[in-house]
Amino acid sequence: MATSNGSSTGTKITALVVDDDRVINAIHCKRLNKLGIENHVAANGKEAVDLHCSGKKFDLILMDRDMPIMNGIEATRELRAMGVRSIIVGVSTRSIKQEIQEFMDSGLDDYQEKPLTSSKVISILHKINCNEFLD
Amino acid sequence: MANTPLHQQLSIMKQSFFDEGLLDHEQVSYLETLENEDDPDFIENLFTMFLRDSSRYIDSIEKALEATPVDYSVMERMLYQLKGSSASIGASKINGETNTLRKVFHDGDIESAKASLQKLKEEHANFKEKLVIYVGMLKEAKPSEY
Repeated sequence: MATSNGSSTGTKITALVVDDDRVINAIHCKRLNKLGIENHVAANGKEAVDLHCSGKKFDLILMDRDMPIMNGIEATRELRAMGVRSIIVGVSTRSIKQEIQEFMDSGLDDYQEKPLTSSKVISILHKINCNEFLD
Repeated sequence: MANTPLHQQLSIMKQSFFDEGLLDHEQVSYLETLENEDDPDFIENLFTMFLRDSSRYIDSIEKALEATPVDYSVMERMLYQLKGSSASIGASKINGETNTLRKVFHDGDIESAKASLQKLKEEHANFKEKLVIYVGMLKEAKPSEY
């Protein structure tokens, strides 16, 4: 069980859940929490970007696509342009290939269709663990 | 684990949700794995949150559809919200009706969309009625101490 608090050298993974639906946020946070991950929530893309502007860093970002003010595509582009290297996983209900590709092209590491199940989360975590070993 | 009449009723009611296709068994089982001693009210709170939010979404959809001209961007956003939200808690019938409404709406048939919305509202009202009772029973069944 992770006990330290650092995000780059510590063992506790940090995550940012970005979704304007609070039911989805509650479920994602709970799921990540149970896996020992420290969570933060942003209700839209702009909040996610602002958090990073204020200096916050996360190992993992779960990014919804359709949000008001700033959507997932714009936010992902913005974060990548800012030099954010976190694993960004797009989570959305969109299933049309073109739309998924558009989202991926904005800078995602992975895309998962809602609802996010345990096995999907675990496969995402494996990606993070691999990244940590490489760093 | 207590097996009082209330717990038995809860079990039966939960099963009927699955049998009637109102809730998806797999998704609910997944949500139940997230509940623990630190947050024993997780599922009740989630269901309550969903009922409140989904009512808002449906209201917005109705207003957007009744507007002249129809407010397409609000419709799009609300339909996707409801689709994602309902799938997340396993509300299968609501999710299904939302998808139907989405399809009809995208086909451009506003009158059929309005009819589809009525169907969605009925499903939602039915689901809400039953889920409110279920949540009430869940609260009652919470042991204060054994």
